[in-house]
Order: sequence, then C-alpha cells, then structure tokens
Amino acid sequence: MPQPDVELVDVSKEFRGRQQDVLAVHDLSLAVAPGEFFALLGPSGCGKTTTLRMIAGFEQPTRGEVLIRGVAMQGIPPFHRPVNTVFQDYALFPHMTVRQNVAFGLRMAGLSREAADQRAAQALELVQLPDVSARRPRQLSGGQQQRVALARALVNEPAVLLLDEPLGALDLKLRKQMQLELKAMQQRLGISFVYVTHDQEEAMTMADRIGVMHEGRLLQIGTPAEIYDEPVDRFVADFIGETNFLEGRLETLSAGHGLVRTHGSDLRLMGVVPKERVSPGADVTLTIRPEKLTLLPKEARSGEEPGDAGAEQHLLPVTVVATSYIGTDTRYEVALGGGLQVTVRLQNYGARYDTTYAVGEPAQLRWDAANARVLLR
Amino acid sequence: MRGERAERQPWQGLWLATPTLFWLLVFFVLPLLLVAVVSFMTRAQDAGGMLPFTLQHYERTLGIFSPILWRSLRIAALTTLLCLMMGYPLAFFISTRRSTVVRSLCLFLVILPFWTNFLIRTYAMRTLLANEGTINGILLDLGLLLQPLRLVDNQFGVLIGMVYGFLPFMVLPIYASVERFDFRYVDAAHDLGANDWRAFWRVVLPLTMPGVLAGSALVFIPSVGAYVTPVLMGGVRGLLIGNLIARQFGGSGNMPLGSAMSVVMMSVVLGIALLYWLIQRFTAIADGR
Ligand SMILES: Nc1ncnc2c1ncn2[C@@H]1O[C@H](COP(=O)(O)OP(=O)(O)OP(=O)(O)O)[C@@H](O)[C@H]1O
Ligand SMILES: [Mg+2]
Repeated sequence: MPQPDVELVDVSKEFRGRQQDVLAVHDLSLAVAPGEFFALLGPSGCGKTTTLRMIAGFEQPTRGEVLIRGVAMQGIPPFHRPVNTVFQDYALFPHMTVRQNVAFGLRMAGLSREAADQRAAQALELVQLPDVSARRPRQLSGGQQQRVALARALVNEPAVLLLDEPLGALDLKLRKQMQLELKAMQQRLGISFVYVTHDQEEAMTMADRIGVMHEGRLLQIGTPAEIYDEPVDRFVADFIGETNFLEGRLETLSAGHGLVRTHGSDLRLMGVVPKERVSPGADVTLTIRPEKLTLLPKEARSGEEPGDAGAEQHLLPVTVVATSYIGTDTRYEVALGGGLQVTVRLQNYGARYDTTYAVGEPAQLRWDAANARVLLR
Repeated sequence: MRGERAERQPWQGLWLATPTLFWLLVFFVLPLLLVAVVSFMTRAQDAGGMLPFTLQHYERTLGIFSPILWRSLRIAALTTLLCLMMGYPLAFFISTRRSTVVRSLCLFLVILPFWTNFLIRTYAMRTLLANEGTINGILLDLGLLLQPLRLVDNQFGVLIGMVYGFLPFMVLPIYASVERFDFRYVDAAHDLGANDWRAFWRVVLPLTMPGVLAGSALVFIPSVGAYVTPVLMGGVRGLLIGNLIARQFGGSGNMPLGSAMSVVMMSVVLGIALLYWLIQRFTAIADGR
C-alpha cells in the first residue's frame, strides 16, 4: 500500500467521568489508502464518532498515534489539519448565507472575498445546488442542507473527508439516491472518505472497505464481500445481514476446516475456520447465512455421501417448522433435531423451482462447509 | 403551532391582558400625558404649572442643562460597555460549566446582591470607597498612599456604583444566549480553519448577539435615568439628569422644567431603544428568523 492518507496506530480514547471512566475507543488501528472510501460501521455508542473526532483533532487520543499523509497529528489543532468534516446534523452556520457558509473555509485560508465566492459557487454547482446561495440554511430542506455541508467541506480540497452519518437525517428514498451520488462524487474527485454509519446496507453499498466496530474495538476490516462472507467474529456475522448461529465444540481442525459437534444434539457439522483463531476443544459458534442453505426433497441424493464426517457437503434430515413468503424468496424455519433450528431462504425463481415445503413436512438440508464459519464464542 | 396562532384574530383573548392594560393606563399613560402637558406650561408660585403654554423649559433643557444630559448618556454608555466587557466573559464562563450544580451556584451568586436593598448596598460601596473608607484606610496605613484616592463624590464613583449595580442585568441575558449556543458550530469553524479568536468573532459572538443586545438595553436604559447611585456615589460633581429632574419636583423646584427634562430624556432613551430594535430586527432577519 502506498502511504496512507490516514493512519491510526493503536489509538485509545478514555473519557474521564465522575462516576466512571468510559473507554470509548480501544487499541484501534487502521489505514485508509489514497482515494479509498472507508466506512466505519457499528452500533450506537461503539465509538465511531469519537474515532472520527480524533482524526479531525477535536479529541486527543489517550494513547496511540494519528497520522495524516504520514505526518503525526499529535498536538496539531483541528484548524491546521488537512481534513474537513461533514457533521452529523451538518452544523451549518445559521447566521450566514449558504454562500458565506461554503466560502468560510476559503476565507479562513486567506482567499479574497471574490475568489472565495467564486469557488463557493463552483462547489455548490458540484453538489447540484447552484440556486440557493443567497438563502439561509434554515430555508433549505434536509437534503439541500446536506449538500451544502458537503460543499462547505469539499471546497477546501481536504486530503481526507470525514463524514459522520451524513445521511442519517434523510428519508429512505433520498438516502438511497445520495448514497449513489456521494459514491460517484468520491470516485470522481479521488479524495479518500472516512464515512461513519450504523447502517450496514449503506456501508456495503458505498465503501471500498468497511471497518466493523463494537464497544470501542475494531473487530474486522475488509471489503463488503469479505465482511459478509468471511466474518472473523460472531458480532460481525450477527451485525451484518441475517445469519444462523449454532453453538458447539470444535472437535478436529484440518486444512482450515473444522468439525463441530453441536451442543444439545450430536450433529457434526463442518465449517471454515478463520486463520489460527480457534483450536480444537474450544467452545465455538457455527454461523451460516440463510441463503447459503438449501432444502431438498426428502428422497433426493447429493453427489457425495451425506453425513460423513469430513465431507465438504452434508445432507441433514430436517422438518419444516414455519414458512413465510416474502416475495423474492421464501423463509423456512427448519428443525434439525435436538431443539436446534435454522432459517433457510430459498429464492422464488418461478415455475422451474416450484418445489415448496409445507409446515410439518420432512425434507433435507444441504450444508456446504465452505459457506459455514467457525467462530470463537 | 405557528399556523394556529396566525389563524387567530389579533384581538382574540385580549381580556387576558385587560387588568394590566387598565393598570398601565391609570398609573403610566395618564401620568405620562400629564407630564407632557405640564412640560409646556409656565412655572407657578408653588413650583407647579400654569398657563400660558411656553417652550422655555425645552430651551433651558437643551441649552444650559444639555451638558448634564450628555454626561448621563456618557456614563450610561460607559457603564454598559464595562458591564459588557466583564459580563460577557463571566456569562460565558458560567454557561460552559459542565456541572449543573456549579452553574446554578454561580447564577445564584450573580443574583445574590438582589437580596439586599439597593440603597444599603450602595451605602456599603460608599463606606468602602470613601476618603476615610476601608480601602483608602488600608492603603494609607500600609504607607502606599500619602493622601486618600478620590474614589467617590465624582463621576468615577458613579461609574463604579452603576457597574456594580447593573452587572447582573448584563450577565443573565448573555448567560441565556450562550447556554443555548450550540458549540458544534465552534467545532465546525475550527474544522474549516478558524482559530479560537476567529471562531469567536465570526461564529460565537454573532450567534449570542441577542443576549448582548438584551443585556445592553437592560443596563443602558435604567443607567440614563439613575438616581440613587449618583446621589450616594457622585456627590455634587457626579450629579446626573435623574437627580436634576428629582430636584425640580421639590418645594422650591420647577415642575414644568422637570417635566420637560423628563420628556427629553425619555425621547432620547426611546430613540436609542428604537435603534436597538432596528438592530435586533436586522440581525433576526440575518438569522432567517
Ligand atoms: N465527551 C464525552 N465524554 C464522555 N463520554 C463520551 C464523550 N463522547 C463520547 N462518549 C462516550 O463514548 C462512547 C462512544 O461514543 P461515540 O459518540 O463515539 O459513539 P458512536 O459510535 O458515534 O455512537 P452513535 O452511533 O450513537 O453516534 C459512548 O459510550 C459515549 O457515551
Ligand atoms: Mg456518533
């Protein structure tokens, strides 16, 4: 990787409180490559905003180091950092016009009023909002304010743009549209974005890479596909999309595949073990996405012998417990015996696959070891 | 909410205000009209007014008494300025305390003086500052002075007394403004390259201007007509227009002259209030409110 635009090295942030201290960010390391769209994803209170504020310079790390384009930011105030922020509620100055808002950064940088106004007008055009420059922020819709906030930050040509849930206040339709626009703009400008969101779909849609945070820790960094298909942590698997969890104990481990004996019933299921995280004997969780499971009629046979320990594919006898039709696909709750239950999603292709399963009907569940993950509990 | 209010007739619910309106009519509007009428009358033997009507009192007010009017305006302006320069930082300090307990305590201390009669407090100030008072006494005893500093019985004394007396009226409205101020705007200004100084002038001050204007009005207007403080702290050399007016209503005074002075003073204050209102309206429009 070339020199990162932003680098965090073992950064921790502790807020001292009267009753107790809050460890908002814990030993967080990440690097954002030039031109990269990096999303920080996590539930409320996990420390996303705090991380962003440490990059911007509003908070000082308790430990660790923040570097921007290779320069350590220790002791450098926000107004001397080559980054700009789009704030969660935009924080547009209410006493200034849109033009004055957008020109503010340029004026602070010493540009003349004329030059600043001209560049502000260009920036407003960039965000497709050329006609509102004489208005006050209060006279704009939420979506327009969002664009002004974007223009106000981008006009300064920052090395990195920091965005804190910039679309959080918009309705769903507008949000979807802005997601695409933002992504397109980021690619056109080639500025790296650090984008904070708690919306996994938003992160998946926009980001080149996602960092998933939980309780102040960065659990996994990866492309959307890696995060979705190859979670290395139970929380990550749970937070992104829908998934099944089966608890058990790891029996054997070979060539990256682990055999898990589930608790309760003595099913033995195979899954991929993420690098050297788990060793035999450990309590583990098997996770597999509902759409990566398949139901077959009771009498069907797969290519391999079912149920064999070590086989990459298992066929397990199951009973359908509940079904729900949700348009594009149908969800089946199926019982594996021993009180275990998993969700299966089958796509509704149409007449070709008209096999459906009624409640109470016996069937077979196809389990692909390559799609299952063995995670530490 | 706004729509609901707009739909109402302007006079609907007026009866809610009638007790106050009646009170003001009898004890404010009528006396005021009386003063206005008397100001154009000739002085009678008993210091009251009689016909014929004349403009001579206005001539005297704007003539020989205008220096005192100017002095009053100047001291009031200076009082306002000093209160602003001390009150703004104080209000800022108080409203940025994290703990609500500390904030309440500070506010309590600001209004604590109101619990004691203003006259008594001013006497106490005088006791501190007089030639033979506490401060001069200590400085003389320590040998730091050969003769007492003249801290009272002049305009300086009036200024000290007025700033002391009116400071809370400046602090409270500014406190309310800063309290409401959203400090994320400061983050935004910093983010866009403004240092603390520029963030203050470009963002904090404009957005807390309503408090500054309200505080200034609350200090300036009563300062112009101040009566007690000039008497106790100013002596003969510190007399202001309020004292001059009061003197005209005594036995050997001149009520028409006093009335004319009152009308002039009120007009000046009203003019300044109008200016204040215009500024406020202007900044309100600037805020898009
Ligand atoms: N100034 C502060 N003082 C004390 N604690 C703080 C402060 N700022 C944040 N915290 C705490 O740090 C933790 C992380 O907060 P942060 O705002 O970074 O979360 P977040 O991931 O942005 O959440 P959200 O999605 O709700 O915005 C929280 O527990 C929060 O209460
Ligand atoms: Mg946040």
